[in-house]
Amino acid sequence: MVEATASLTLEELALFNELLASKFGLHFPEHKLEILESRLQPRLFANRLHRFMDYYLLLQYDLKRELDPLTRAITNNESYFFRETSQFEALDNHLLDELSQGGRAGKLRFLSAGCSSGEEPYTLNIFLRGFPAALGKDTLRIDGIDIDNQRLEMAELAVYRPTSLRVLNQQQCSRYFASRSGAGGAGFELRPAFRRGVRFSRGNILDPASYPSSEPYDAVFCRNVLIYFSETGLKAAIENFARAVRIGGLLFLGHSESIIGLTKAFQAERFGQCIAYRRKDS
Amino acid sequence: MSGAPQPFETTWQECIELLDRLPSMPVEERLDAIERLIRNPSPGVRSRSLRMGAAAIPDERLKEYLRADADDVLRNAGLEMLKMRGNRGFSLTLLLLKDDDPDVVLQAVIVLTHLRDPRALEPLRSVLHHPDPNVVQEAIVAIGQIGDARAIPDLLGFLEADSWLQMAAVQALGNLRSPVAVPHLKGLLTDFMAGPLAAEALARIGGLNAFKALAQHWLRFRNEVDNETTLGLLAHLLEGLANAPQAPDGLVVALDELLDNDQENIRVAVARCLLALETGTHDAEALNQVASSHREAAILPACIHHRSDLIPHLLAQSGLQRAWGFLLVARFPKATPASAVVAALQHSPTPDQLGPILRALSKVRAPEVGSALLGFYLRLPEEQRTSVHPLIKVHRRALLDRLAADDDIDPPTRVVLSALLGGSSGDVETSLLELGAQDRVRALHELLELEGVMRGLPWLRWLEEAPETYGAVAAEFASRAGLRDLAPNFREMLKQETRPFLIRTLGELGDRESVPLLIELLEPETPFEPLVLESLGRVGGPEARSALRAATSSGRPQRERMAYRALARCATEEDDEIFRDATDHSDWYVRLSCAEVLGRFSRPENLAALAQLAADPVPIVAQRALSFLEA
Repeated sequence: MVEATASLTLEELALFNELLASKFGLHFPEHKLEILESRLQPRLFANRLHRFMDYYLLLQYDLKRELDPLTRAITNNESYFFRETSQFEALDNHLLDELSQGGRAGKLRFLSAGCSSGEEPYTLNIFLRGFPAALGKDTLRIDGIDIDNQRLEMAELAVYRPTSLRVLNQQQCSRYFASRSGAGGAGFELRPAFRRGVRFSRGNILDPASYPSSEPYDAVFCRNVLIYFSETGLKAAIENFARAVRIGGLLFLGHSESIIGLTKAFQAERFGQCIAYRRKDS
Repeated sequence: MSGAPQPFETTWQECIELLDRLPSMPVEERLDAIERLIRNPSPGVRSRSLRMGAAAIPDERLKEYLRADADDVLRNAGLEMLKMRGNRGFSLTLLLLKDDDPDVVLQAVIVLTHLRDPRALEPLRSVLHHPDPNVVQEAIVAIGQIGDARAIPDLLGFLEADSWLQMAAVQALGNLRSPVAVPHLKGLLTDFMAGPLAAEALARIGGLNAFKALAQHWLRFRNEVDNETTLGLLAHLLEGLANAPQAPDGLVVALDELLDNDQENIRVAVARCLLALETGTHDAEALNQVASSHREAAILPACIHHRSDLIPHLLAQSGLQRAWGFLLVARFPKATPASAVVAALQHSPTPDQLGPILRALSKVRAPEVGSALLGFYLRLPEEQRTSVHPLIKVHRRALLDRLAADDDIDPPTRVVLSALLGGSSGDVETSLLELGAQDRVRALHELLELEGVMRGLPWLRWLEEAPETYGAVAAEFASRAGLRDLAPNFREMLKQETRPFLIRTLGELGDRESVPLLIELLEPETPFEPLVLESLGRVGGPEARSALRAATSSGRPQRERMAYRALARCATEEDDEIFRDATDHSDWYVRLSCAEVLGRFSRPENLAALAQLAADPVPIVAQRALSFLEA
């Protein structure tokens, strides 16, 4: 006889971690057991299951059908505009010029990996368009990828709740956004000028074939995503980024993330207040 | 120990492979490999090898590590391993406190700081007179961590000592959380070195006197101190008080001035202070600030714990703030205007509001709330409705009235509500039988918890007449209630079509007659293989065990790991050899199953195998084996 609900055991946590690391690179340490439990619980209800082990077994035979809701359940989509801007600020005239010279003439290409609902690539776009002299006639393209389709739809819609704008002052809000009101409450729509050049598609950091372009990028941004990755996942992600960034291009990670000692493909460099990783010539 | 070996595994992959091979290596070779791996720059490789070292390295060798003056990596590794041993390393650590080498004593004290074992208090007090000031400093910190207020007189003397010892004493007094230390710490707030630590210590101690001391200090020096830190500590102190205190003159005005500060952390700290002080000034703005930093709907911010006056405002907001409103309702049900709750229930809840709403409605008994509960319930998606069931009994009277007056409720929902509101088994059964098949199944899914009513229903007839319609709900109920009578029907259905719920249910029911059928499903290869193996493990018995034993050597890694797990569920003593032979299997999940089985059947050869698993590089395997050995 089964109990109505069961708790996530350590054994089940280890099994889910193994699965999530292989599919998404994600890892939930033991002290986050309850977080994973609360995120997976609705999937148990929806599939009328009582044990996490049964859900794990379901994922063994029906992952394709369950992949989207599982992705939504386990990913952390917390993001907001102008988060950790020191890295964007480092992209000044000089650095942009350098990136532009070193890559494909007339084209600057950036990848935002794990872009959630678009706050990071749009913020990057806002910053870069503040340097018309550096951009010159270059075309600017920013690709945002994420594994969560619902988040990508929100990114394309580009309408945000006030919490996504929480560090913007009033002047910035009105410059970049038009306010909207609807049944769901107040919303802010990013003005079309700041959406131009940003494209979104479904992509898994661990699966380079899912990246939107096989042409190398001038820079990849993957900030505050890899902190949730297992060491194996982190290693695989960095290898994929090494293939996605051109020689001399840059990789930007979150302030608390480091890949020192994990790869020989990148060299850490300081730019103003931040550190970025330069793709070395192998 | 072989000098200071350099890592020869050059790649991360090689290190991982070596870690995986460690359990099957001879002891001396394994220890040498650990000494190499602890030098690896990868944090993952290092921590796994340290964990293995903690379990496998003998005491004498560990002591040598701690004395390795010329090899910092090895010495630190020894320290980490000793910490990882936890209480198993306690006796050795106490011995090391008496060592002639001050560095070794220092490391022993660091381990005791980590262990926080009260048995270490007296030995640590004796170390307070050690000639090496580094040892004394760490001993002060360790005493603070143990948290025994009897040590306070020992520590107060160090407030007059040299700066480093003074700072350690301030930290320790904060950790001991005794109000006795407040006047002493207050006197240090203006000290250039110890001042910031004294402020932190006051915040840790808490209480009205600590608040007054820090508030007055901030008011006087607010243009000189680090506002982000001090206001954060002040907010922490205020949130810990049972009631809002009388604010010192000028405090509220000074806080107000910073509510629109450029720095988010300062704005949030000020907002927390103002809300906790219950000033009423800028409540709405302060709540917005707190909501921008506190993302958790299920946890009420401490600064509004006592603010029952905020309930109407919060319930009228959206998102996080409405969830907090409901959490406050649960804390202060009698102070809650029912109309505000009714109005808030008109909105469909977001997933993270559901928990707070349920907590609130279990406390508020007003009839109009009960009536609003029905609309709320009807708006919920069907899979979430069962979470509201406990509330239906709480608001029974109001719901019965509403049910009688409302003709728009659809028949299956009406049957469900009538049953949950205490309708007799006979009436519920009759109503269920009057429903069409699809509506009946919908209602049945929601009523599975009412075992008494459910048992009386004609499940067998339904399954015979329309297995497709009733199969899933009947299987769910049979699993819940252990209804073995239905197993033959499920077996028949499984013969017709392979459905996961049937495989799962036959396993849950422990139906031995289904074993041949389940075994048949394993060939040819099926995507349901893990589920089939799991069910065989749940059923158990000689036939299932034999099939599972065969599957453990199938040569297919995925099948083997699930077969080992399933066999572990139903293994008898006859099976333990197969698990002893697999203790060096490359799959950690197989080794975990080995630990389970070998721990269950304690004979000497199994204990030896368990000892090997206790040094496994995968923590859960090592912990499981160790727990059996310790038991």
